[in-house]
Amino acid sequence: MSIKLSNFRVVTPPFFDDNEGCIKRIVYATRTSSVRIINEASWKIIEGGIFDSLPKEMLFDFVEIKLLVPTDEDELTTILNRNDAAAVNDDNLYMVVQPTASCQLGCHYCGQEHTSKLLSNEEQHLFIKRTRAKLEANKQLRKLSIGWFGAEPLVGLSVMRTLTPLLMELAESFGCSYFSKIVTNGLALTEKVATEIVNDLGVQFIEITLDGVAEYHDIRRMQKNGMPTFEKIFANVVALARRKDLEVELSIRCNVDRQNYQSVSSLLQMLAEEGLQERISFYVAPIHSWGNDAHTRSLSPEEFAAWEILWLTEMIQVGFKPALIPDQNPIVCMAVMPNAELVDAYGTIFNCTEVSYVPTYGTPNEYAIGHLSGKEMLGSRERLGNFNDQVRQGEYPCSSCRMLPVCGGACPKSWQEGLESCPSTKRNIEQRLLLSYAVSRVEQQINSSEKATIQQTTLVNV
Amino acid sequence: MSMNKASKVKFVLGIIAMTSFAAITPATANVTTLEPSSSFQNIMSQAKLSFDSPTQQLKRHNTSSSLKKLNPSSELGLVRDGGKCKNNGACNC
Repeated sequence: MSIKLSNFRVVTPPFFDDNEGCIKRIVYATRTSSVRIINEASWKIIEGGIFDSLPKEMLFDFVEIKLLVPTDEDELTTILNRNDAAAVNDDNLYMVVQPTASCQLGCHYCGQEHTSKLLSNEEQHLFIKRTRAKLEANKQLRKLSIGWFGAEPLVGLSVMRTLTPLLMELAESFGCSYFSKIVTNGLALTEKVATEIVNDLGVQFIEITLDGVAEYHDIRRMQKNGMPTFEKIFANVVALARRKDLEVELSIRCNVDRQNYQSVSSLLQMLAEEGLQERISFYVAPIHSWGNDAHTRSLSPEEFAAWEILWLTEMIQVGFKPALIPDQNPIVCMAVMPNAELVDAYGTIFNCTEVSYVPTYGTPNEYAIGHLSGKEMLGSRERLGNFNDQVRQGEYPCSSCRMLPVCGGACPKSWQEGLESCPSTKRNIEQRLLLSYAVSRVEQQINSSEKATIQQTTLVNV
Repeated sequence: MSMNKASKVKFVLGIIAMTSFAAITPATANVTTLEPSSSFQNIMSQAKLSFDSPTQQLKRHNTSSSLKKLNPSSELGLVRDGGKCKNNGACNC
């Protein structure tokens, strides 16, 4: 079989390993998200295409991880076919519910228009009926995943209370497992509410947004009446994170732009001082367009990628365990899942989480693909759902990007709006690889010194 | 009293951090004078990995092929979605 070096690879610059006295590189095959550390001599052989000169074991390994692929393979087609198949064969029915159009906060970068509308009893009934129909029609579905999203979903807690038992019952009757997550601003997430949503409403994952420490957060994520929110939200986060009796994963998202990026380090320190490193995950996300111009105040992608390496390093230093190397991402988002839907508090149906309640998209909303009542809407599922075909046709730079297998394309809607949506990993994957290797080496050093101490102790005892 | 492994890593890296944190506090950080790599470099040094003249070093050392896999059990390794539909931070839900 004739083979070639895959286009879907990342190779770090050469670096010197003082311990082993050799020059190395880290190679990341994105088609399998496999990482290998090789010496410079091996890399030169691979780069030169003299694959027969490689030791057999190494050659087989590189073929296995798809660093080396058949010469005649059209890799882009293989990857996109895999992505399509993953979406079609997905056994997870993902439904996002916006129980209300109301939110207490008035974040300046939010593109949504908030009202007091709650999903009515009639609409809830129709939503359950619709979910049941999907489970009936798609026998491969084995999981029902519900995402509670806003506006602020906890303002619509009453809707969560009535829908959850019905959804759980539905999942059980179709032999499906049930998973639920919530994305909340955290203001109403008191210990009492947290206990209820985890223990009674089956929420297994909670994501809360903090845009830095109080002096930064409170000028961005204030209440609609201007009142600050940081102190209350932070107290809720700490109290929840310390609840060992609640089985729930916690994630803190820090949205940054030029106004607040300087506060990320201070927030990390604050969380670490509370001893929450083992209990929560933390990530920083750049502000993007929400049907508005919010992205114009963002750091440039290059600046964000560089700062993110610093934040990741700090996270490791204070004891967080950030994910450094991305895994495969064949299903880019709900847009390409044939059965996934978002239902807003008006009963309007979308296949994207970034478009409901956004006045920029018109009335009726141009992205609406349906309504619980059966009323026809302007949009079509295919507009965003055909994203892989659009990449296949070379409409976006994703078709020539080495990160496509682990990114999936990031955001179909952003690309359609002419905005690059590439994740930071595109620009800092080399540093992430090096950081990951460096940390594993520090761990090894500690292991070795531990072993030496044990051996010494054993000798003394003998 | 012995420290567990995670605490030791945190302790060692924390010492490195003491030398680098001053440079990245909000008061001194600035987009236009961005130099966020110092703590990264410190971790690289702690791991005994360096970028200093690697090609010069190459001439002095053996060049036979070698391969290592990055420890797959590393908790800093791959992102696992776990069905939570995380989208690279590209959307809000």
